[in-house]
Amino acid sequence: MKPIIDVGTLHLVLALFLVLIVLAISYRERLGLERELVIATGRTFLQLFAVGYFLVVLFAWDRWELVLVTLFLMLGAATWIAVGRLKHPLPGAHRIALVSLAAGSAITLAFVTEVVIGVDPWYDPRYLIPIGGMILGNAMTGASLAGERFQGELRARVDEVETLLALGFSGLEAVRDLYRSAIRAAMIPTINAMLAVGIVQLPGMMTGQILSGTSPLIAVKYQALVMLMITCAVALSSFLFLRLALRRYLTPAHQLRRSLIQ
Amino acid sequence: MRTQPEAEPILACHDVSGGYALDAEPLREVLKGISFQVRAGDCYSITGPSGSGKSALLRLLNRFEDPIQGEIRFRGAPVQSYDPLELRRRIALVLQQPVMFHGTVRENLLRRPGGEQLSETALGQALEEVGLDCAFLVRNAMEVSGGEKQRISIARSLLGQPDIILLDEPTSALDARSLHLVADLIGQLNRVRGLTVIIVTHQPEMIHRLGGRVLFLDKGHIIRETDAEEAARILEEAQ
Repeated sequence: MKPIIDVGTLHLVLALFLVLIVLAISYRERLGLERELVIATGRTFLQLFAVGYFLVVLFAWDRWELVLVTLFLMLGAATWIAVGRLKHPLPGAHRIALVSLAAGSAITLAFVTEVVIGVDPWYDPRYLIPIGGMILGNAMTGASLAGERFQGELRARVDEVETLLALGFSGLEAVRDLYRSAIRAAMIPTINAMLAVGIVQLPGMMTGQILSGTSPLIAVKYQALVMLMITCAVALSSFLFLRLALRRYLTPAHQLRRSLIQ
Repeated sequence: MRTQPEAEPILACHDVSGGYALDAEPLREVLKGISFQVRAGDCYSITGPSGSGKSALLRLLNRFEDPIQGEIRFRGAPVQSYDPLELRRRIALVLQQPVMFHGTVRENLLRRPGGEQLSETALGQALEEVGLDCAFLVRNAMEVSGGEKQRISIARSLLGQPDIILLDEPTSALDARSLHLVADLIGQLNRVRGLTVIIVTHQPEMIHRLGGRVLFLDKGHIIRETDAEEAARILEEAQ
């Protein structure tokens, strides 16, 4: 088997030529993207190298406390970003997002690493950090998509909800169609990705593994596992997020809090 | 001489404050010190300028909102002592904009809480009661006219056998002919069926056709309570 080609500093400098092409297009077509592109390129290098060095240290120290702290920091960031994506304010949104992302991700991560793969030791950062990151990132997108869709549907269909409440339906029954629509909106990108995987392009993780010398068959198995765990994490987190958010929108007396919908 | 005791009011508000003006941005509480009593079989119209708290008052009566202060009693007991879902079946609210769900008129009428089953006869009777033919059952609910939608939404509420029906400006978006039809229908429900009616309206013609008592609201206060004839005259003069 041929040895793996390491991407050196010179190679990376050469790759910057690709950015020059984009800059040229932006300049010629007056897209006005030059500044953003330079900043984005700089940040890509900075952020990736920072996380790379951080992972090197984390793997070298190999301590469960550090792994957990890292996962909690990632959870905090995911919570913050998920709430930031909501178009309308929701009281207690940070707590709702934190609980739903933590529960949805922890269940999935624990099942995948401890039951399916059987990571040893249980906290091996080489597995927990990248897999946890993928789970959290997708759970975050799912929860925010579900929340945003639900808020939008509730605003558009408030008369429908109040008609059902006026007929004597419970709060949960009155918003059930909206809630289902929101969970579907969160799930559809993941299901579409499952349907298209391997046909149009190879997913990032699988590509990375193959480029770094892993057998494609092993990469495929990991990728299948990744797709399944992402689906589960998205479903759990968006479901929990909506169930907790509903407690804000509806009172125990089945009243819709109109002040949250204005 | 022993006097005949007055009948217990079916609904009574005692010094009620709170409620939201939904057309205000941001939401603000509007009602202040509202007290009035409605007896079984009464017809009460609530009128007043936009933002005076008319709709907010209706939303307190079926517990869409709770008052900040004061008490609302239904059949002698505080509304909070009832199961809210049962209370809303007893005190039905018909919203200003009738909402029809996708499907036929039959499917709309059958949309009942708790999967309550209704016979074809019951559905037909409900439609007849609002002046619509049984043939409407198979019509697409999204394609009927505004006045017909409003009558179907009243029929849908009546299927729950309410004691009181609350109507929030049911004819505000209707043409003159539909207004007459809906006004006559509400009058019949009150006079023939004996249903207690509380209606929000700013239309003198509606008040005149319905009769009964009229509450004038302004800036969240009841400023006058009078009979329908005088109220219609006051409103016509104001217009």
